[in-house]
Amino acid sequence: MASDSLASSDESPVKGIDDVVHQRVRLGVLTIVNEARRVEFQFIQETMGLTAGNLSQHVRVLEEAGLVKVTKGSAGRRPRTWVSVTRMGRTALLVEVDSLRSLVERVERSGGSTP
Amino acid sequence: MYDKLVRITNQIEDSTAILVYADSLRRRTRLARDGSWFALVVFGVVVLVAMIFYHAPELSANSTGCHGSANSFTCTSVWLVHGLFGSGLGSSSPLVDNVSPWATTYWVIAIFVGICSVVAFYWLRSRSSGVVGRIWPFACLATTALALAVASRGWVTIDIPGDFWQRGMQALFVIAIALAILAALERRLSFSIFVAGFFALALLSSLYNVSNLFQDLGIGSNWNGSYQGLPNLILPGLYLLVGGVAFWAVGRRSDRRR
Repeated sequence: MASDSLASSDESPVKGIDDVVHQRVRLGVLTIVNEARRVEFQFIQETMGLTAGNLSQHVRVLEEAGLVKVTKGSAGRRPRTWVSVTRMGRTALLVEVDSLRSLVERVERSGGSTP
Repeated sequence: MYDKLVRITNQIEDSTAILVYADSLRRRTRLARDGSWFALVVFGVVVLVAMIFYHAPELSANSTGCHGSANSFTCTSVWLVHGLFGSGLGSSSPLVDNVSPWATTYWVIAIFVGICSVVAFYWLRSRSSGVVGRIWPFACLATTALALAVASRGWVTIDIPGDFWQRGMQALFVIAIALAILAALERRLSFSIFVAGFFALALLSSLYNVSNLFQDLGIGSNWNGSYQGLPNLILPGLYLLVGGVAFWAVGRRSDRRR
């Protein structure tokens, strides 16, 4: 069975996956902010279709882990919150995406059958 | 064992979905940040407007007091160019026929204004979209390339084979370098390929009389005399302009699909 070799492999296929980053919303936030020098909070919220409260919680987790930096500013009279990725965040994103890709590739290489 | 396999399978399906989702977010963010089409339009206009300076009928190697031989040329006057920047871009040598002495001044001002307008466009776009890209490396490196091109007038006619500068098309390489820097910042394959195409056209315009190509293809009727050099600007200029409009249209269509 193709999946036997995967399951019995010495190296875990989920090795390298970080619990902070390995979450759909947080990985999404990191992906967005990694594409620019800084991104406005509202853009992330609209692009991901989240409520402000929900996004705030995830951004806080990322900020506490040192993966993003949050700065407050204003444009005219309008207050703005900017989110930018840190070097650690960029590395964490690359590691996470590589891990996910290698996980999928390993299954595809071994035949892709599912039980 | 079965539970372990189910767990791994779920993990894999989840991983695939997350990767697809991340990819769609990446594309949407790049679309919001991207203003490369504007740079193509701006520099396309810069190249096409330069035609004004490339069909000066009264200027020729003889009329500017210079005459060439097999290995060298001599001039009776060194004041063959006008404006602040002397020669180096466009009219690098008095042997460039039909190129106005003001061509270099035009290129320097127009390319610099082009760089500034691209930076301004990115800045304004970032204010409205909320995605601030990295545009300052473009401004700094493109301006440096322009400055180096202007400074090159001292050695351009000595170290670089005449074929490269005798048509006065060096400015196209400055624009190509500026666009290549933008392509590196945008990390967009289609734009990078397009810029590579412009590099090829810049090389063609420097080395070959594009008017021959136009005549062979039956484009226009008379590309002789003072009009001979114009196709060398029309081809790359239109390439940039049409490319800019095409990139804008594709971006707009993708934006509507969201």
